[in-house]
Amino acid sequence: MCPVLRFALAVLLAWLLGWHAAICAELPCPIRLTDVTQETGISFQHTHGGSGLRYIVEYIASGLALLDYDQDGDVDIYFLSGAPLRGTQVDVRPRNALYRNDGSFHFTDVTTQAGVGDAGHGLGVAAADYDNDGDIDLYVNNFGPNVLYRNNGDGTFTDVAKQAGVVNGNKVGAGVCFLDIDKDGLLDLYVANYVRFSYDTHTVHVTRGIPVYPSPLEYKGDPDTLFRNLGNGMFKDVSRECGIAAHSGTGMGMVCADYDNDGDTDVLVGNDVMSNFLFQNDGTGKFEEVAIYSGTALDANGNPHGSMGVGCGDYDNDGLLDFFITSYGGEWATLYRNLGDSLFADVTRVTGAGQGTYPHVTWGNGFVDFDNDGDRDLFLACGHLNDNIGLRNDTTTYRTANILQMNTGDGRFTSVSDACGTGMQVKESSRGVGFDDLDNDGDVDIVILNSCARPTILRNDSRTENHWLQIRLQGTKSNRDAVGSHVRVVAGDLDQMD
Amino acid sequence: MQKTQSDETSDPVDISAKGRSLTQTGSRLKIVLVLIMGAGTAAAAGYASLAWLVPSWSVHEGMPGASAHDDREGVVGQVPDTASEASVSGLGEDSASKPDRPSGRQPESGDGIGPTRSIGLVALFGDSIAERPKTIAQLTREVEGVADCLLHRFSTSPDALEVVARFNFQLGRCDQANRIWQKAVELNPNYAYAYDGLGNVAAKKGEGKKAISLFRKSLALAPNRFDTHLALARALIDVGKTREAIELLEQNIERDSRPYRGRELLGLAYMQVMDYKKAKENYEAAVQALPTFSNALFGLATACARLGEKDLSKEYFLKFHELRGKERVIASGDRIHFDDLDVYSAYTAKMYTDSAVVCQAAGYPADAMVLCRRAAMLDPNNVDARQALAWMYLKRGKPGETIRMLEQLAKLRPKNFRFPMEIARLYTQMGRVEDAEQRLIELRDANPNDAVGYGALAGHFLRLNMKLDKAVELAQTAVSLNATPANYLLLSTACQRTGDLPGAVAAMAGAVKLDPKNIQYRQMYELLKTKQSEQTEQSR
Repeated sequence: MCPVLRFALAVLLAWLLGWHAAICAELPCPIRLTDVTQETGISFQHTHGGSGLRYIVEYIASGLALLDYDQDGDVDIYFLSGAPLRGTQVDVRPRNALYRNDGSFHFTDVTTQAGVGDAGHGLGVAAADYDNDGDIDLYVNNFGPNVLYRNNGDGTFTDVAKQAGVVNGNKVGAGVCFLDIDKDGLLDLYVANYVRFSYDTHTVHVTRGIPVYPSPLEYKGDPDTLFRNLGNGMFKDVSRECGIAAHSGTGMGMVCADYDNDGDTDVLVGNDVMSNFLFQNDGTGKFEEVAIYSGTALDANGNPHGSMGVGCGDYDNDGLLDFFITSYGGEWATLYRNLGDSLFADVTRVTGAGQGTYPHVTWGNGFVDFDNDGDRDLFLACGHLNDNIGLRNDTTTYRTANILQMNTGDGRFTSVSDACGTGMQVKESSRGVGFDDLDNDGDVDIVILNSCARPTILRNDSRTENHWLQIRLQGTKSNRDAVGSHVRVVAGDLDQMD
Repeated sequence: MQKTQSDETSDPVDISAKGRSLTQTGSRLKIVLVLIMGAGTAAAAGYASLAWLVPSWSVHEGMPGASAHDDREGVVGQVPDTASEASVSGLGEDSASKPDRPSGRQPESGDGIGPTRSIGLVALFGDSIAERPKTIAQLTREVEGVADCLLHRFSTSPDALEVVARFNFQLGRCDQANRIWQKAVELNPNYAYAYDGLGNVAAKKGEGKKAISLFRKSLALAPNRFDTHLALARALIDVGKTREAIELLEQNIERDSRPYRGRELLGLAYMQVMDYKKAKENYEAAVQALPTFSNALFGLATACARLGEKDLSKEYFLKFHELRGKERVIASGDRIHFDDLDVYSAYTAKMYTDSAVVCQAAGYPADAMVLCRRAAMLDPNNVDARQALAWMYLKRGKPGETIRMLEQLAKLRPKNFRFPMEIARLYTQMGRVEDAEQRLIELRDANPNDAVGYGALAGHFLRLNMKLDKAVELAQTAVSLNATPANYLLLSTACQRTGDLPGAVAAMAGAVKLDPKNIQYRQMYELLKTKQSEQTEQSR
């Protein structure tokens, strides 16, 4: 679920809110996450659009975005939904939903007023101020034509995808990110594409008589799309000249980050059952794919994973951005430690970062310091894609609890999923995840999109005396959201960067 | 007596029990065919590598687990000659002298002859044994019937429980498998392979510490099994106890019959602790042992990258990509041709073959027979069931049926020359000399650059004392293609039979030259030389 990651980036980096530097971490502070969904007033119900025919585009739905669309100082939520796929009959067509944060963990559905109720098959979403007009816009990556919602600045949006030239054909989308590839102050758009799917080539699969979803390997991969922002409200597809189009993958989650600290933004794309891509930016917006040499293409054994979501953060506070990629059942969600010199090592096992993930399909994830102790913990959304998985593998389930790994501060993680409150006891088939401080109390809360169910809202009730720092950046010469900025905070011995 | 392990099997087991007293092969209860031949006789007869196949089935009900496993491990590749010899000679007599008729032995003897008693599987399959199931549901009902039958009739047999547990595990029913393996442990706390099964369940659930504990229990009972060492090492690595894994692997790496596996894992472990030099050494060893091992190549390339050997790293990555590309094409083909019923049938066939081992060992050969027949029907590629059937048919004095199975095996394993050679041997025993010759001609023509076919045909003629000139010609070709002592011996014999004593001496000299320490060769050589001298003397 690149939506997750993409979203996390959009919020934490692009949107500039999610920087929480813990200043003191003298005592261990158990993380407490409370399920407050019932009291939020959120009634959104996700659908993957299927009705038993098991199209591959069902299980990858959907992501979400956290953004302050109305600039009132609190974080609102935008949920994506699947659309009825061929053969599915519905009385009321599902659509995406925007919930305005009213404060105190109460939200109001403002989809209609805002005009963001796209009824396409939503997969990934990114939020950023692409036109540098001071408000946050939304890009929705669908199966089908994509949508670019330009924020009108008055609480409403207008779909300008066609005018802007970012419809992206009729592809199966996945993750999406805004980034400034050439540091011209304009946010460009990286759109990951999954597989070349069509209804006509779909066949229902069975394993031991049990219907299952097809593998992405049964389809041709699709190169991703890179749109350059021309600055006049228009974008141009520059995938070919930038070196992206030469690589066909099965893109899912993705993240944009300057992993080599050379001042430009690179791109990591998690591919499903294929080698991941790491596109290294040469500083001018041209990219070279270096994943295999960097060590991020495959796991430590040299095997491709069913990569789902991609997270990015400096988990060990060494000044280098690391990556975390979730995966399919029978694989460990994988932590790639940045060794410097553009090399990464799969340190999943030695750090314990993959604990509890092996049986499950894992999706959205994020490096987030939930207890403000100065190091980043790991949250992973879980849930198998086959709702009948129990019939042929009883080590996992369609609906399962999510996973929380607490960073112990010494470069290792310990699983605290069972010991941090009601929030981690919720069992759904989760996909996209967003992290931000929904109640502006200095700790990071969680919004989870669950497949074919209502979302889960987790309030961070960690009782910590640790301090925190929140920074909002605003670009002047650079893009207004300051997407791609580095922030470094030093407090005593603690040196953090984002 | 020379013994050769079948190239169709990788983990041979004991033969000493001759199908009854057995030891269990643990996670892979396997039918193992041990090939035995009398070297001199075979060479002279031209059957260069095979006398007969003997399935070795074992179960160790009531036996002390540890010693049983140790025994079984010790037996690998070290089958006691006396037991093997007894087995072979017995079988050979039956098949040679009493074709297609009962042997007259008592059915309850459990030796595969005269089926009368059954645990119910004969009735379960009935007339439908040759009918292919039409649906997964139908096959599921059938296999569950077999499993229930095994669990009911052999409820106190850890081996039977093992077969059913493993089948459940393969089908993803880990809880059920876990329960059955637990019961096996309760029945016999020393039953090491149940701990392996339980460990595998724990590992699949991601419960690394539990898996480690279970694999350690297994190793305490059966310390020689490298597969369990590997599983334990993987579990240790998974929970971050990499140093322990390294120590374990380093101590046991020599036990690895397929050393690329342990070396690759050692490479991975050293990578985890950032000892890139040792990682590289081990990956290199793995690649040397198995050049097509793409995972090891990846590790090697990565280790080189970490060591700053960029050019070498790129070179290995290129090889890795090439291999992976090929693997992907194969995987894609498998996916395209995926047939759910076929795949499930193959799983089931394996389970039936393993179950047949249990039945045979418990003295229910009729059930073993129907299970193997059903397995062979369900999976046209199942080798083990066909090998077992070939043996059982022979035991029942049905060489015709044996040949039918061997022909199927020869098609499945065209590179295994033992099958056509054994077919020819059986034809000869049945008096169908021309059929035997024809089969060996087919073998020779299918492998024109291999000495085996020529040698086998030459041996056939020599054995029957016919077409001796042709035998000489064939033996010469065999020597020219593969100048082994055995082929020289064959040529020498052929020359001797045609009265070409100088030729026989020259050929025997070739054998002695290649194998100077072989006393038999030397004696034969001296004898021939003496004869030649006498002949020369007489002619004067």
